[in-house]
Amino acid sequence: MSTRDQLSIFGRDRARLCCAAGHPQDEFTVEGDGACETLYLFEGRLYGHAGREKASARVERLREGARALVEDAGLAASERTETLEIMTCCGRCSPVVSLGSERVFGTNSEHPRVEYAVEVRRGRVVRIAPRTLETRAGIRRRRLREGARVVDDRDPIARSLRR
Amino acid sequence: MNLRVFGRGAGALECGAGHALREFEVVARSVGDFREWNHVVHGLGDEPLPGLRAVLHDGDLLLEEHERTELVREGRRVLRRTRHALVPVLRDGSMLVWTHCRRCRPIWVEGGFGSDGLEGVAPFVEFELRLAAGRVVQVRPVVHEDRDALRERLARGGAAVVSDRDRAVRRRRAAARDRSRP
Repeated sequence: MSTRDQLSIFGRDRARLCCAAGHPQDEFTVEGDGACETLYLFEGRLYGHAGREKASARVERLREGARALVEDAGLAASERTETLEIMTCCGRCSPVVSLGSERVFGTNSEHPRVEYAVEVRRGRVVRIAPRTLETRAGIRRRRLREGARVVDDRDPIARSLRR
Repeated sequence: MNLRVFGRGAGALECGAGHALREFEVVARSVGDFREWNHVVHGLGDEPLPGLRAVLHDGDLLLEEHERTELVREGRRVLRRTRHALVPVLRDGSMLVWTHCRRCRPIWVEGGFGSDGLEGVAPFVEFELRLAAGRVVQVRPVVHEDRDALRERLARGGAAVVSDRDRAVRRRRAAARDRSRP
């Protein structure tokens, strides 16, 4: 069974990886076989978990008696050189809803697909190229081509599936 | 449910050999249903229960609620920092918590899946925590096992206990020492 790595984006790099509607994305799946690891993109650099280092945890007392648990885990700068093909679906875009599929309740809701190629050289991001930036109109056209019955956005079913 | 211990009052939670224990599993409770606790934190009612995690800080029982994860730079290091709000569980009653002491050397028995056919068993510890308005007022050891008690229990149960001086056990210990070196 193949496993995929996850890529989490932090800081300014989020703005470089947007969906077609301009929503910054912070969580991607890396295409291809991986080790089920989480990789991190931060300040233009790739990081992974630091092998044996144990996470530290402490409780902080805040104002008005509130408390918070803070956990720190050290990350190690990656030295990988490769092109990461990454994908996600934008959860902030409303889904396009269609009927007639075999899914539960007979509806199929699809969020726009976001795919980028991230070229990494010795752990540094040297280029980010969009591969697929699907729009809601694009999904609608594709679903209609596939013969699905696409539901109008004002339809109560579509409204109930929208956040 | 997982329970981690911080701050004062943690000293009462030790294994039979006196090692301080900081992480437990909760097995039984009379302080209300976890589903209800979840409701207290998330207000979700019938949503599926996530892996609920609790903290005992200075003797107070608190539930973790994830707030945010961020990456921060501290000098040359980059850290993944996760913050959880801690929500008090203001309940009366008692809860049973258990763990295996990871600092005690395990007792080795035959029947493991490794190449040497051994399996390590760590001493088992169980406490009952009595709570008043979410504050621990009494800690009662229920099972407080040291290595000798564990060896006796395993032998009584029919396990083939291997001596600490056995060559395979010594090899295992040396390998564990190597792994723990930075």
